Amino acid sequence: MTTGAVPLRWLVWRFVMASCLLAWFVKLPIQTKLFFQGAENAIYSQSLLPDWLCRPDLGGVFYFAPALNLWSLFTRRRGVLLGAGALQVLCSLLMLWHVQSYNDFTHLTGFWVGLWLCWWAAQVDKNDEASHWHGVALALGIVSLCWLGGAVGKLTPEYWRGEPFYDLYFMEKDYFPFTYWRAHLPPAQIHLMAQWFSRIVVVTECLLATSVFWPTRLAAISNLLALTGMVIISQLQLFSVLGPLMALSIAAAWLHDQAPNAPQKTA
Amino acid sequence: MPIPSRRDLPGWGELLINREMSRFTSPLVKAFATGRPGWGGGLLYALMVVVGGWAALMPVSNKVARATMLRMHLRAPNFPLWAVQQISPAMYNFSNRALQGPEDAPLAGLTVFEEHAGRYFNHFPVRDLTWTERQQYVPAGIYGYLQSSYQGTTLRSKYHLEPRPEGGWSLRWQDSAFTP
Repeated sequence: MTTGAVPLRWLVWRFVMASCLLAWFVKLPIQTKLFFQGAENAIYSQSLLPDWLCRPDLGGVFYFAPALNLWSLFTRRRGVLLGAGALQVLCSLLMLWHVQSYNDFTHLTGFWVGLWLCWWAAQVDKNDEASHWHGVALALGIVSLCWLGGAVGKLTPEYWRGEPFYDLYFMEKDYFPFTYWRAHLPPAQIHLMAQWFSRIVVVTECLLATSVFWPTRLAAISNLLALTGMVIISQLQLFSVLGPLMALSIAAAWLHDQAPNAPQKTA
Repeated sequence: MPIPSRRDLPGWGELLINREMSRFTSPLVKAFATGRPGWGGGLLYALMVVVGGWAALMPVSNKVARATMLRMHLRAPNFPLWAVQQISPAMYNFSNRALQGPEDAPLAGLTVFEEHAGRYFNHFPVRDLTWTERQQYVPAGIYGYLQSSYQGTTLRSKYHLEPRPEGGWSLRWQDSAFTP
């Protein structure tokens, strides 16, 4: 159950946390602009949110605090891992409530993966089969849950006709292949492509929402392919949201291949 | 070689955790066949079931759909009810549009969305007001009109983004209405 000097469970924890940190800070230029945009441009109060969740300086603190979690990648103290997972959960929640970041689902996937990291931190020194498989199941369960949340909101005639995707991707995106299609294809054909693109997305999300019930490798590889496709089609803009889910899928496949009762391969 | 009797065959639990026979078994089944998740894992499973159940109800429950649409417009009876919904995944939910302008138009009778005006947003159309450069705005502030649609139900909301005397901006909700 060990790989080199560092046990497998510790390696998996570090990999998922490192992915979370990368996804969290990949938007550094945008977030810095949001929280340090100057008093004349900031929103200081909103009808529903408490005023402290509108303070730009506190938003900056919530955003930069997870940088402390870098420490957890180089330590062998389990308490630090637990604290790092808790900090990831707390900062994700606060960002989900702040007036400048409530809309960014980076923090939603960060919250759920943070919960998994908290739980896995409590299991890193164990060596039992049950916690191993629960780690895999919970990882894939979180990815399935995110697919489910995306799928149900698209079960509506507008998405079946492709209208939101037509506007959001086929008309608005200013990179290849969308620019090429706009320049070379008639509008009716682009509408048809958007319609089928949208339908494929809806059906894929519905299918992958059940992936926690699939065999581990099939679920992990299917999730990874779909998530990578979404990241590529958004020109990496969605990496901040989907990176932690990609990490959980890889972690599930990794743990599956290192199962406690796995037969040893012989040459 | 004697034919094994039914009693000699492995039970379901053994079948599930036997790797040779369970390469295609769901990890969820393997996990519960090998042992309990403990209280921490149990809590995480329970949270996933509650949040997943809430999401799964949306296509069949108009109440859940309405609550989620209000969430996208930063509306709820109180902050805790909105805050707790924020942990529920809702990527690219609903058909959302928003537009803004200096005109103070009543929400009832607003026809611009029927004319397909306004930008589409993947979720949270309030972002049209919270994520833009505001230096360009007129001193009297600006009005934002939002629309989200799901399975025949439409929610429209109106916000006013007004400058504060001490600097910065205040985002005031003014009205929300469902149709039908």
